[in-house]
Formats: sequence, structure tokens, C-alpha cells
Amino acid sequence: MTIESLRHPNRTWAFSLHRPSITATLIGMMAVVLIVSSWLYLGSIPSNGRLFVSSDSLARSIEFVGDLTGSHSSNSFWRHESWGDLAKLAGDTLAMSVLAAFIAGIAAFTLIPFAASNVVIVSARGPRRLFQVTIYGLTRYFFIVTRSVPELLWALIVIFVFTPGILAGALALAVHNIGVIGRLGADTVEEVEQPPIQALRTTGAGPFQTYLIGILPQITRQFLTFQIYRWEVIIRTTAVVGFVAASGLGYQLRLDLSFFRYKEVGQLILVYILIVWGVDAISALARRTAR
Amino acid sequence: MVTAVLNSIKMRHWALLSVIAVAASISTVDWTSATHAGAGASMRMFVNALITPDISSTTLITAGNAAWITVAYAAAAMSIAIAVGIPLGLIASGTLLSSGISNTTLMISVRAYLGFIRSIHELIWALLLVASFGLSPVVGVLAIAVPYSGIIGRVFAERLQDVPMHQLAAFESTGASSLQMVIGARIPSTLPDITSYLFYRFECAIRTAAVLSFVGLGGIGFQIHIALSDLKFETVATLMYTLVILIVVIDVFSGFVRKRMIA
Repeated sequence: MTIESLRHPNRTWAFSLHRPSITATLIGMMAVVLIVSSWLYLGSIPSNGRLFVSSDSLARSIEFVGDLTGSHSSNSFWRHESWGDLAKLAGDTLAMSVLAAFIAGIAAFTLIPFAASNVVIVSARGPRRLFQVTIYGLTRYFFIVTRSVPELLWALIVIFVFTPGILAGALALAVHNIGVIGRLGADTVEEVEQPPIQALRTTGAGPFQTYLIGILPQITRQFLTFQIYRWEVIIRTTAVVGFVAASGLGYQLRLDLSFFRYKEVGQLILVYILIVWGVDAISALARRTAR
Repeated sequence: MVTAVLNSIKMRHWALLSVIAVAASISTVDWTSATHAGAGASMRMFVNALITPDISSTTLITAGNAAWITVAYAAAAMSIAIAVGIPLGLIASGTLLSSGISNTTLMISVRAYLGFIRSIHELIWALLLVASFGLSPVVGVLAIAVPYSGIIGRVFAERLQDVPMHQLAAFESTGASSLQMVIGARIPSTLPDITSYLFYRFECAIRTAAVLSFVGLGGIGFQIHIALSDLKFETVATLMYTLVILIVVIDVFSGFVRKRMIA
């Protein structure tokens, strides 16, 4: 599911490959220049990585894969206790993702009307309009800053204020997702069907009454669908936010890798993939109902 | 049977489930020691820094350099992800191949492969690749390119399948082969969507490249790491705004391109 298909579910396109426009050519050229110079630059970085070259590193990679896949009898796949430990960590990771989706959803949902120009900017001129434009600008600014910074960097900042744990991790995830959900929601509100809204306006409804009665019912399904879809994205990232937030599967993965306990890593990644697939399945079901 | 059960699930059931899940999650949080003693002071310092970022020339040069490193990783990774993901997506869509047993097997195995590689987060790929091959820029690029090729492949396959029938009917009536249908009708009709999706993915790749510092590679995340360790919040703010500028530029560019393609 793409962002654009959520925003314009019924739009179809008229576009031809046979007449590549100047724009298309220009973009193609820019992309080529960017990609070539990126590769040239990365190739010029001196490094001691031995990618795919020596027989030594190849042997090490084969051993590493052997450790991951549980081909040794000492591997944690064959121990009961480690499954129990991982189940508890998976529970923490799930809790963190649910909390993150909840906080992000509530915060974004509350802020969306203030970031939609057709809701918040209603006065034609004067100080009231200036005030409305300021509110709009500040909310949009908040969305773009929170969206631009990835969850893991937010986690580094959040742990200056909150003690590492489920809450800190959930907040870091939530901050980034407020920006993502909020921006998409506000854009959807701005593109909403106009006639029912104008009809409401003529009855004397204020901007927020119009929003509640005229706009919100039109976007609720789309908002819910997107919110559920975000949970899928969040669960994938929750595991890595655990590196910083010191909880769940992510933290354990970091510890195992730092101590070169590769025989534990394979099992951990298996559990991670299972909960990702589990969440995907639940999310698909929930979206089916919401649609 | 199964469909009937699935259809009987109503929104109120999901609502109830969500409430239970959220309540259970809240109960796992240790509220007594949720914040540090100096939490308020740190928060104020950070908010002040966002209002007055460090704009000294040394910081700006560092930020510019870091931005270029991050963009380079993202662009290099996208080039591989597109080169691998688009052909795999074409196979996974099943629009190109006739339905024989060998073709169906190929389609299903490609779908399973795409599903597997995109299940694992970029940073976990990075950690695994570094543990296996050692640290080098190519490993950083691959860590982003591997899961992204899986995502791009799936989305391209879905778009190809979702082309409305009325756009295909005209082609079909002329007796076009499935290859001609893909080239003549399916790909052109998905192009605007896929282009803006690729821009969006590039935006994500930039964010991902910014956190490659967690495996020891340079870029904006690396500089934020350093500045946070030195408690230089103003520098952190400058680096954050650098990231914001990159994202806004891609966003504006993407919007412009999309408008031109639809018109």
C-alpha cells in the first residue's frame, strides 16, 4: 500500500512512455549524476572491510551463517529456557509498539485540524488571520521536524529526559510517527470533498463544527487504515529502538552481537520475524474490517 | 467458512481488542522512575537549542559534509534496490508470465524471498552484514538496499496487478501478448505512482542512512551521536535541521515531478 494510493484511492492516470517530456529527461539525468557521484565517493572511502574477497572472510561468513541457522548442538535453538526468555522480550517489544502507535495516533489525531489550512485558516484578513496562519505554520513545522528525524535518533534524545525502558522507546517511536501520520492526515483533510462542507458553512457552522461533522466522517476510515498500517512499520522498528531504549528484543540483540554470541542471534531473529509476521497478519485483518 | 468468520469481525471487536492491548502495554511501564532527576532541565535545554541552533561556520561545514555522506549512502542503496526490486517485482506480479507450474513456482518463490528480506529491519541487516563481512561502506549500502529491494518489489508487483481493467481492455482486444500488455499498458499506468513511491523510499533511505552510525559508519547520525555525547544541543539542532532540509527538498521535488507526470 503506498501513501499516494491512500490519498487518492480512486484516481487513474493518463501517461505515455512514448513522449518522454523534458522534465522526465532532466530528472533521469539528475538521478544518474547523483548515483554515479555517490558510488564514486563511497568507493573513495578507505576501509578495512574485506567484502567478498579473501578466503579467510568467506570462511568466517560460512561459520557465521552456521551459527545463525542452529547447525551446532550448543545453539540456543535447542534450549527450552531461551525460548521462554525470548517470549518475554517479544512481549516487551510488542508492548512498546502498541504504546507507540497509541501515543502517535492520539497526538496526531488531535493536531491534524490545526495543520489543515481549510480548517484552521478561515478569516479573510486582519490579526485573526495572522494568528490562524501562525497556528497552521507551527503545527506543520512540528510535523516536518518530527517526521524528518528517524526513530533511533529520537531515542538518543529521549533518553536524556526519560529513563531507558519501554516508555522511552515508545515515545521515540511515537515522536517520529506523529509527524508521519499528522502530515498525511492533514493533507487528506485539505483534499477533502468541498460541496458538503460548503453546505454546512451556509447553515452557519463554525470551522471546527464543520470539521467534526463535515470532514471527520469523510476521513475516519482512511485515517484508521493508515494508523493500522503504521503499526506494521512500528513493530519492525521497535526491535531496533530497543538498542537505545534498553528493552525488548533489540537490546538483547545488541548484547548478543557485542559479545559475539552468534549462536543466540539466529533464534532471536526468528522470534523477531515471527512477531513481525504476526502483526502483519493482524493488521491485514483489521484493515479488511476498516475498509 | 473462514471468510464468514472473518466477515463477522466487526469494528467494535477491534476497538475492544485495541483497548485491552493498550491497557496491557501501559501496565508494563514502570511509572515510578519514568524520568531522570534533571528531566525538566534537559528538556528546556533541548527546546532552547531547537529555537537557537548553532550556525557557526565550522558546524555548518560539518553538517554539510555529513549530509552529503548520508545522501551518498541513500542514493547508492536506492540504485541497487531499484535495479533488483523492479525486475523481481515484475516476476512476483505474475502479469508477465503465462500460468504454468514452473512459472507459478517461480512467482511464489520470488514473493517469499521478497517477503523474507523486507521483514528484517535495515539496521538488523547492517549488524548481520557487518558481523559477517566486516565494516565497509559497501556493507552500509547493502544493508539499506536488501530490505528496500524487497519493499520496492512488492509495491511494484501490487501496482502492476491493480491496473484497472478498462485500461487493459483496449490492448487486449488488439490481440496483444502479455509482454506487450505489460510494456504498453501496465507499466505506463503505474509510472506516476511508482515514481512518487520511489521518491518516498529515497526519503526513507536518507533517514535510514542517517542511523548507520549505529554500526560505525559516518553521516548525520554519527555527528548527532558525537554532539549528544558532548552535550552540544545547539549542534544537535543544526544537524536535525539539516535532515529536515534534505527531506523537504525531496518532498517538494517529488510533488513537482508528480504534478508534471499527471498533467
